[in-house]
Amino acid sequence: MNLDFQKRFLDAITNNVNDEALFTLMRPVAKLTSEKALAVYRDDYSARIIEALGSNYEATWLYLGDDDFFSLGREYIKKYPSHLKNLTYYGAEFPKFLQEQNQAEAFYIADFEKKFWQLFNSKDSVRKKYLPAELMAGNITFNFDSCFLLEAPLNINKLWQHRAAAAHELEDLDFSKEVQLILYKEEGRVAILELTKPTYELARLILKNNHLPQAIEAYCQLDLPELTPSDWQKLFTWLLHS
Amino acid sequence: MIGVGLRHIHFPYLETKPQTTVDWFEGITENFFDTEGRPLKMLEAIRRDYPVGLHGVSLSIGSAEELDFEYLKKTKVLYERIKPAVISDHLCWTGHKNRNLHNLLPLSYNQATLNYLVPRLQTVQEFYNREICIENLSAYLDMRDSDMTEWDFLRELAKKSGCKILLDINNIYVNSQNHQFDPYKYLDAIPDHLVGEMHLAGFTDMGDFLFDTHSRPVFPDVWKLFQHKIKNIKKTPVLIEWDEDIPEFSVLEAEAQKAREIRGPL
Repeated sequence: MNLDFQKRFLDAITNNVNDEALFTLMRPVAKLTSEKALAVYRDDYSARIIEALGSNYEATWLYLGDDDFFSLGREYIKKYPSHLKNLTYYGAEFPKFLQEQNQAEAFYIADFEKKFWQLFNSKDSVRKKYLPAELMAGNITFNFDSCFLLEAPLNINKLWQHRAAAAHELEDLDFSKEVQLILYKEEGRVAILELTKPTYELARLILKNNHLPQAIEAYCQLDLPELTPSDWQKLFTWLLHS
Repeated sequence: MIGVGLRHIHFPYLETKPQTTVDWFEGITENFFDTEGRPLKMLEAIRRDYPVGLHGVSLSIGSAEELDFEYLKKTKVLYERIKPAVISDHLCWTGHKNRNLHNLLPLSYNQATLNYLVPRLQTVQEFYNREICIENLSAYLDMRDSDMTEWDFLRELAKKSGCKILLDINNIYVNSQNHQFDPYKYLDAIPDHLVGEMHLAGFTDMGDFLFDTHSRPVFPDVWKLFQHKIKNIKKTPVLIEWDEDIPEFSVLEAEAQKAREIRGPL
């Protein structure tokens, strides 16, 4: 098998170069020249991989707009060519890459999307459902493998909910609100709960202590407001599935 | 059996368990790797009601690198779980270990490539403990060291390795226009008993060449080629592929119905 041809071909596609030696090994078809034949494969590679990145990071794309998303996407592809068998998972390093590019707000959106898809593809575990009183008794160990707490300086949840909208539909929407979120898996679907700041703090302590009474005790030592009935309801909605 | 590709966009519709007229579904093998979530649940749900085929895009049988046994193991685990009626991949290479182009890249059609591929395919089939179908692809370049036609190469590969052929009629048509050959000669050169499955899809005319986009209905000349080949092998599983600009499920069902009518009663 022609290893030399295959290596040259891979270089020509991923590094965007035309290689005269490669052209001596191949023959274009139809009305194509060698350069155009290579461009068919190069354009297809670029389109497939950008499409995969775009479908994994739809809200990030919406936030950045086409020009910035494609420009950053091209840089990302150059730095992280795919070595995966399944393109569905392409872009795992994209949030980190955006952070390195000083795209602070886009980082939060991309990080949210990465975690959403991670949960989407995670296994549904069969969980016993507890009563709130059992949780408060403190002798239950939670399973927090399938949940993420996220805090962002912009409303990433609202962006996510509108990710399929056309750009002009977003003009009147305000995404500037800081949000605290919890993402978890519930009956095969990814649930997103928007929390108040105090509820988020208590949720963080629960994740840290893995024990509800201890977390409440730690929370009481902080100078934070009491949780409202609505806050408690949200917290238990999550805990009862964890 | 006339089937359609199982695509993510149709999951919400298929979850309602509609009465469909399709006989089977084919999923992309790699889409069900590394997931325990909804895609796999959907595949299992479909499998309970229909025969399922699994069609790979990353075996890379023609890669100059060694076979990827991690990939083969993952595939085998999925096969054992789903028990597909038919398994398949392509006559191509897709990349190397550190770079995958996610495209189906052409090979040289000559004795040296045949000698290279036959034992590799035999290893794959021994590993899976079953026969695999290998699909002809659309290519936009030829290799200068090819000295066999694609159809002679494919036929010899199947005969020598024991694999079956997944005959993609659209790819044959696209290549016949781009590479200038008679598509009927291709079809007639493939013995009926070697055909394990057939694919039908649409292409896009790019002006300088035809491009296999799977984004359109099946082209009239492709239906004619299909009619020519299916007449003696009516029991062969046939699949309508549509991967870009995917329409509503009913459009796929209508294409499948057309294939059924052209095939005629079994």
